[in-house]
Amino acid sequence: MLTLPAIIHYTGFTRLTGILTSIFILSLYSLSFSILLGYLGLLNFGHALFFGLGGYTTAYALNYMGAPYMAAILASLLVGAISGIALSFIVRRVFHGVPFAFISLAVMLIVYFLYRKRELRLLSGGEQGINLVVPGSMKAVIFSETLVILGAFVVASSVVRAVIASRPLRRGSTAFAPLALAGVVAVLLANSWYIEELSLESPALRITPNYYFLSLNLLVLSYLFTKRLVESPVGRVWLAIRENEQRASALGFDVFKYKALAMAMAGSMAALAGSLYAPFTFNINPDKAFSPLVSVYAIIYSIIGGVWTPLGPILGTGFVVFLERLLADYTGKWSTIIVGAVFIAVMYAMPRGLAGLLEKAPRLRRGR
Amino acid sequence: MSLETLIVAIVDGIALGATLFMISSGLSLIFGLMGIVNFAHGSLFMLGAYIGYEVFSSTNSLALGLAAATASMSLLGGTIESGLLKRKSGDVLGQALITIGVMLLLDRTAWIIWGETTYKWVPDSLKGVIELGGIIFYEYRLFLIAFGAVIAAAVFSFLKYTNYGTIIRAAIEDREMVEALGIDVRKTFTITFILGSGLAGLGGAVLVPWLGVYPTLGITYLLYAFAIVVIGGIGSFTGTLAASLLVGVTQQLAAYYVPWLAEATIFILMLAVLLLRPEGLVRG
Repeated sequence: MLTLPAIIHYTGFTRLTGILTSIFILSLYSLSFSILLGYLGLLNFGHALFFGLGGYTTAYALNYMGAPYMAAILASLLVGAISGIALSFIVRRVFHGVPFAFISLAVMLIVYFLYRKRELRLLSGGEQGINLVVPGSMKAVIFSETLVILGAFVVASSVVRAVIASRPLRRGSTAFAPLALAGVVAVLLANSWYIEELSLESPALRITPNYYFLSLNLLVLSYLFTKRLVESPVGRVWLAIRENEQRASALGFDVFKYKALAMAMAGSMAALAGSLYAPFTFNINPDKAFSPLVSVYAIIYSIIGGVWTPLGPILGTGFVVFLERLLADYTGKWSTIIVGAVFIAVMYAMPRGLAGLLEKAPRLRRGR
Repeated sequence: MSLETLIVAIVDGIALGATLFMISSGLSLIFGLMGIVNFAHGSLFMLGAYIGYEVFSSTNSLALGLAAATASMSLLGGTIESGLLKRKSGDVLGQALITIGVMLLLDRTAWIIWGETTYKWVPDSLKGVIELGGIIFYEYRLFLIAFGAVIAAAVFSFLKYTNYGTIIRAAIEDREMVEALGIDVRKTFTITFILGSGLAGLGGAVLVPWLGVYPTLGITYLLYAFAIVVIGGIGSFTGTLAASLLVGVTQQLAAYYVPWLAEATIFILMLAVLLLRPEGLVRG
C-alpha cells in the first residue's frame, strides 16, 4: 500500500491513485455507518448529515477563517461528535428501528433542503457549493496528524473509560495508544519521504499522493481503533444492546449512554471522511454533502461488504468504487445499474457480505 | 400578500395533496401491512409519470395515459413483490434494503432512457383557466382535486367494502389475530403491492400536466411520501389522506410566502410529529 503511489507514478497509471484515495475516504464513511448498523442495529438513513457537516466545516475553516488544514480536520471531528450526541438526545425517546431511521432522515433533509436554497447561499454556496482553498503544504499536515490522532485517542479512550466506569465491567482494555503510535510513526516515516520525492518530480501530482497518504493513515488508524473498540467490553455491550435492549438495560447498562457513544464515534468518523473528501474533490455542495443518495451509498457499501466486522465496509467500498469506476470506462452510464444489480444479488447470495466470505465474523451466541 | 394569493396557494396545495395521496396511500398500506419501508415506491411514481407522458403525447388522450401508467406500474409492483421480496419474507430490514437496490436500478434506467429533460404535456380540454370572483384558477389543478377525491373514495371503498380490504385493515391492526382466524395474510401482500404501485404510477402520470416529469421526481416525492406516512400514522387511510392535504397545503403556502423554507417545512413537520406523537396523527 505504501509503495503503490510511487509505482503508479513511475508507470504512469496516475488515475489509480485517485481511485484508491476515494476508496480510503469513502471507506471511513461506510465504516462509521456500519458501526451503527452492525453493532447496535441502528439503521441511519440520515448518515450523510455527518459527512456533509464534516465537509462544510472544513470549507468554512479553510475558506472563511484561513485555518490550517489540521485545525479544520479537528473542528470537523468535533462537529461530527457533537452532532452525533445532539442527534442522540433528539431521538432519546425512540432510539431504535424505524423511528430512529426516520428522525435522522428528517433532520438530514431539513439541512439538505435549506442548504440548497439560493436565499442561504452565503452559508452553503447554493447549489454550486463552495470551492475549497486547497491546503498548501501537506507534509506539515501529515506530521501534525500524529499529535492530533494521539490527542483524539486520549480523548476517545477517556470517554470510553468514563462510560465503562459507570458500569460493573472493570478492565476496559482500551489502551491502544501505544499500538497506534507505533503504526503512525512507521507510516509517517515512509510517507514523508515519498511525498518529498513526488512533489519534486511533478508539482501537479502533489495533491493526490498527499491525500492518498493522509486518508490511508486515517483509515488504518480508524480501522484499528474501531476493531479494538468493538472487541472491547464496550463492543460487547453494544452487541448485547443489539440483541436485546431490555435485557442489557436490566443488567444495569445505561443503554442511552452506549448508543450516544456510538453515535458520537460514528458522527466524528463520518465527519472526518467529509473533511477529507471536500478538499480532495476541491468543492463541497449540498448534493455531495447531505443528499439522500449519499446516505444510500453508505448502505450499499456497507451491505455489500458486510456490517458485522470493521473490515466489511472497507471491502465493500473498495469493491463498489472499483466496479463503478472501471465499469464506467466500458459500459458508460450503465455502471450504476450493475452496482444496483450486484447489491440485490449480494442480499440473496451472501447475506453477510464480502467479509462473510473471508472469515467467520464474531457472532454473539443467540440465547433466548 | 393578498387574500387572492392565499386562496390560490391553498387550492394549489389541495391539488398537490391529491397527488401526494396517490403515492403515499400505497406506501402507507405496504408499510403498515408488511412492515417494509418501500424505497422503490418513488421510482414507480416517476416511471408512471414517464410512461404516462409517452402515452399522452402519442395518443393525445389523458385517460389512456393514466390507464397505461396505472396498469404498467401495477404489473411492475406485483413483479417486485412476488419476484424479489417474497423470497425474503420475514426479513423486514432485508426487504427494505432490496427495495433500495430496486430504486437505484429503476431510477438509473429511467435516467438513461429519458435523460435530464423535463417533459410536460397538457390536455387541450383542461388547458384553460377559470375566473371565480376575480381570482384565476387553473382548470387542470381543479381537475386534480376532483380526480383525487374520486380516487380517495375508490381506495376507501376498497378498504371498507371488499373482502381483501377488510383483511388488509384487520392485518394492519393485529396481524396475529387475523392469522389465528385461519386467514393467510401473506396472500394479501401481492394485492397490496399491486394496488399501491398502481396508485403510485397513476399519481405520477396525473402530475405530468402540472409539474412535468424529470429525473429527481421519484426521490423527491418518495421523501414527501415518507413524511406523509409518518405524519398520518402508518397504515391509516384517514391519516394518510389528512396528512397528504396538510403537507400539500403547507408546502404551497410556504412556497408562496417563505420560499426558502418550502421543502424544509414538510420535514420539520415530520420531525415534530415523530418527536411529539410518534404514532402519527391518526393511529393506524
